[in-house]
Amino acid sequence: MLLKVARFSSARDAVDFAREARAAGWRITLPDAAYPVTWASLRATLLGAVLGGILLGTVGGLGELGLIRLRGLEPLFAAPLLGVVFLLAVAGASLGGLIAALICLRPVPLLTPGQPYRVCIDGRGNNEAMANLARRYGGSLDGQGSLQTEAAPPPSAREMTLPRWLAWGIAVVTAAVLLIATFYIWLVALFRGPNSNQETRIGYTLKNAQRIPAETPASVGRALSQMMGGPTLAVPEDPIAAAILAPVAASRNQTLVYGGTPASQEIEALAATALRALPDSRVLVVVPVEAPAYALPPAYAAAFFRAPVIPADSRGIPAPVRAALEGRRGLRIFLGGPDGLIPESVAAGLRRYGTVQRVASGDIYRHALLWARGRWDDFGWGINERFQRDGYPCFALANPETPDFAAAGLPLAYRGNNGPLLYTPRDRLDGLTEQYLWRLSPDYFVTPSEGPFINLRILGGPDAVSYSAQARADLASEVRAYRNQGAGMSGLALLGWAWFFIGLAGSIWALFAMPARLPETGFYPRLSWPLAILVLSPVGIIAFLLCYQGRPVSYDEGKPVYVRPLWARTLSATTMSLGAGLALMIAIFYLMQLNGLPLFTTFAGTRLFWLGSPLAAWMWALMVIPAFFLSTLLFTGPMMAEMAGTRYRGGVRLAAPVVALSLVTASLGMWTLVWYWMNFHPLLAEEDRWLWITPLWWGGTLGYLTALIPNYLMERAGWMGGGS
Amino acid sequence: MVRPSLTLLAVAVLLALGLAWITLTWGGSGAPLTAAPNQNAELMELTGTTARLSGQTHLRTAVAYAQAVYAANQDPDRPGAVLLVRDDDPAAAIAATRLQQVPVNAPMLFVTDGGTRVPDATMDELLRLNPKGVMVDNNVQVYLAGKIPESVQQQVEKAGFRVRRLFAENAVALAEELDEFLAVLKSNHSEEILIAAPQAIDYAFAGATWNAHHGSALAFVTPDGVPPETRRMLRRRAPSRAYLYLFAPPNVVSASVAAELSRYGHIQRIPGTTPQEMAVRWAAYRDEGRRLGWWFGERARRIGWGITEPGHNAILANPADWREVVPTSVLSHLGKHAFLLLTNPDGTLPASVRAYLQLLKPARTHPSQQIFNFGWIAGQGVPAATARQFSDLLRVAEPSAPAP
Repeated sequence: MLLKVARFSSARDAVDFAREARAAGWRITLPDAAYPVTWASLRATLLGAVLGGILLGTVGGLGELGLIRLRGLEPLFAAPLLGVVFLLAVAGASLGGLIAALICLRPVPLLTPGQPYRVCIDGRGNNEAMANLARRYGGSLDGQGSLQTEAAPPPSAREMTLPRWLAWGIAVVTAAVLLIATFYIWLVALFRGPNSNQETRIGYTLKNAQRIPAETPASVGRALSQMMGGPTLAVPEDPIAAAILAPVAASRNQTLVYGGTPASQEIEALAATALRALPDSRVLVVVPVEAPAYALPPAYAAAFFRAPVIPADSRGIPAPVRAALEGRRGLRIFLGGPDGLIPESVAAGLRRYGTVQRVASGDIYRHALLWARGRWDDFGWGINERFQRDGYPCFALANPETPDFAAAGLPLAYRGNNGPLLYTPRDRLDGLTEQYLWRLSPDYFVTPSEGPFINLRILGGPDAVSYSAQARADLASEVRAYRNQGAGMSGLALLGWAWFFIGLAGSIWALFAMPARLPETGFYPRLSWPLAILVLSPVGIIAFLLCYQGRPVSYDEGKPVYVRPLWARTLSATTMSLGAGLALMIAIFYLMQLNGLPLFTTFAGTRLFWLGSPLAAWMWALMVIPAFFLSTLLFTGPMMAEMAGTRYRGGVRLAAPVVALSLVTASLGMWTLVWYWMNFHPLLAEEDRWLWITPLWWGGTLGYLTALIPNYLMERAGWMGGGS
Repeated sequence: MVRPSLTLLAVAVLLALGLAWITLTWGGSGAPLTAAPNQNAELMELTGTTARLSGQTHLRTAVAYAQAVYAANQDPDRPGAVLLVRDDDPAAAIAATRLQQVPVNAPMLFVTDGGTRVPDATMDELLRLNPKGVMVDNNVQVYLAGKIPESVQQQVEKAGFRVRRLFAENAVALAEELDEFLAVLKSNHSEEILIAAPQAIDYAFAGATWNAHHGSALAFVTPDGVPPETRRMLRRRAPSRAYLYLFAPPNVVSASVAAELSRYGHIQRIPGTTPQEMAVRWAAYRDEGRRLGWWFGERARRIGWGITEPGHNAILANPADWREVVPTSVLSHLGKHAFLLLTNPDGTLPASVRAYLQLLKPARTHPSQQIFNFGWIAGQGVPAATARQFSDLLRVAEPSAPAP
């Protein structure tokens, strides 16, 4: 392969030559250009992204499968299926890609002027034609002839002056405000109350979770019999006895009354009697005698489906029960206890009566969820949060450490708004249960009253299930709009957060990449670009690469200028005039929210009433004006002064109209989108909701794209350099 | 030039400081509820499908409704603001329910003694709720709506809350005042307007809970006809057409007044000769159709609960004491978004309600797809027997499930 090198005195000549050479079909590379990204670094970044994405994505996947607790991230489960995997994968990929990119960041030396500008031509072409073409652009092929090179520039200004410190300070504060405001919602999700003194509450009734008004298991039994009405069946105060008798009571339409009678029969005899009372059932549920807490979730299902409950321990099922089972075949038998409580030998012994299936988990909370989710043909609640969309699940919630309460609540399995049993520890709603409820929480599509809804009944006093746990369950099971889940993450919010994470990673990368790989850039672009990428996210990263990747540097009057086509100069100019401005606008907006946005009622009653609303009119003025001043005086003004070689005041005068035009156009684009979403779509996102980031960040991007238009015209007219 | 690692460190330090400051200045944690669950059991009876919400007095009953909806246990459980109204002006309270919807998100509580005093029950609940503040209105935490003097505003401000007072001499003027305030807040006048008559305010109870759920406007007509405040309100909708829904039978608001209203928009009268019947008919009411068209697009109107199938939440209240009925609007605003049904003044269940609830009776299916209803019993005015009847009507139809 023949590699020829043509040398030119200026980058522009080199670029023009390269364009025509490419058109002639030769392969051209420009070694003396800026390359923030190389093939090697790209491969490393992708590898890091894939590794990071797989790592965190797997964590998300385990959470989605209900295998691990993602503590503090439970509200994420309000998103559609695979949403948690998606968000964690994107976060992991962003982090992994960032780390990898930073690790293999190699600084490059300054592209100094005074050296001839090289163009490598790869190809077996006509040497003569190449040399002629090169000469036409003032260059020479392979060192023939002499070159007029550019004058060496003065050393570029690297010292920090006071205005530069000010600009840096504002940029740091702006970035910090944006990050604090976006991280705030994650903090809120971690916090578990109570938020204020609850002692003035009249009772424990909440909109989605009510507590059975009784302090002891026996009084729970009495309270439930009064609640449900109708005939009753008194059972001893023994969870296993209650579990055994519940299906019998259900089949006779009787409400079980826990502790309504002293213990009379042995459990074994009771089980045999109950088995004989339900001769037609094709299903049997085997529960562990030694651990009533494990026995109760299966007992709830058995009670509703009138399936006999059989006690078992490590030795097997009791003899009277085995006698009562004689002759029965073709049954479906479910083992409601883990291996340690109902060993495999017992299962083997039961196989003569039919198929045996174990539905249990060592984790008691997961055990309850397995029974709530499971459905085998028609037996089982089948309330599977991954597929459940339209049923109205009603639950009982209790503490497994005091299984008497759960046993007393057995009527809730088959009377009234009935449903399965869920478990929680006292102080904090169990993570798996909470993730389950968030994912199950109904999404409304048309109107909030359309249904479905969830209702929970809490069993036990505040020593068994605290008010905090009840309130958390109430929050998790609330009905929410599909696109705006409020306190939960929605699909649309996920997209916004993924967008943001990519931008955050890109912004940090640009912060480090610019000094290392683009040493010709000045002070102000090194601040504006990271701020811009933080707000514009993937669009900002793409714009960054389009502005710098493979762009040669030319020295105009001693100042380094990147040689770009007009459209790329537009991107750069827009970022210079807007990058800080957009970030400032959003940061100012967040700061205003701290004190509440102002509402002006002066025009009430007139035709101009709408001017009073912050989201309609005043807000953008309150944000654009400070952003304009800060941006012009501290960023674009000094930057243009440095670029044009004038004093500060001259730079500000150059910058002011450009920044004004950019900001006004951008805010029109941005706030039109935000206002449209707020008013014509019921996405009334508040600032402490997960969705809030999506309209702001996408609005910012739309504002940037809108501002490209006037900036293109200004570039054409030559107002802005567009070359930094 | 500044090293990028220094910049990153500076941002990280500020971020950590900011998050720490937020955590430390949070409303702070409070004492959890440790009372026995059967405390006040008779006020909060449960059945299989219903739950009662009441307090010893009408003040505490309104508090009970707010406590059911707002657990105040974590940030999303707190209201944006609290709406305070007088406990001696039902029409003003009904006009104010539209303020409860987003973006405000507020429960309704009472001030007593002719609107001059904030009772302990209300103040305690204000402190427990600790409203977050309405972001689009200066983080206001308490709204005073009606003829409430400035002394009450000072009382509430002294307790540390930001207050906005929406003062009006009477309910008719309040409707206009609220209409303009909400128009400024939402930068739009709602084209859907409920019309009520203060001389027979019982008919408008069902509309009040709808307004907390949906946020339509509300205007009054008096025995003398259409008052100037209402006329101004209706004219402000121009050039859009208003859609008017009249919550009064012909013997309360005559056909001629309805005809007068028809000059301002499309008027429909909600069917029903008694308040109980009108509540039932409003629960099933659904009006959809034209609202705004702009050649390449349109925006439809959709007003009314339209509930004629199982799987919803109903409130049962006795209209004898309006102070137990109107604050139930907060239960329409969040939670299961309930619609209102009324008993007869003597507490029995009207035939219209019994017939309507037959439409809502769910059939028994597999539990994974089972539909349920839920009911709230509001206040003390509904006797236990009626509550039990109501609960049975809402319950899933038997027969019981066969064994698999």
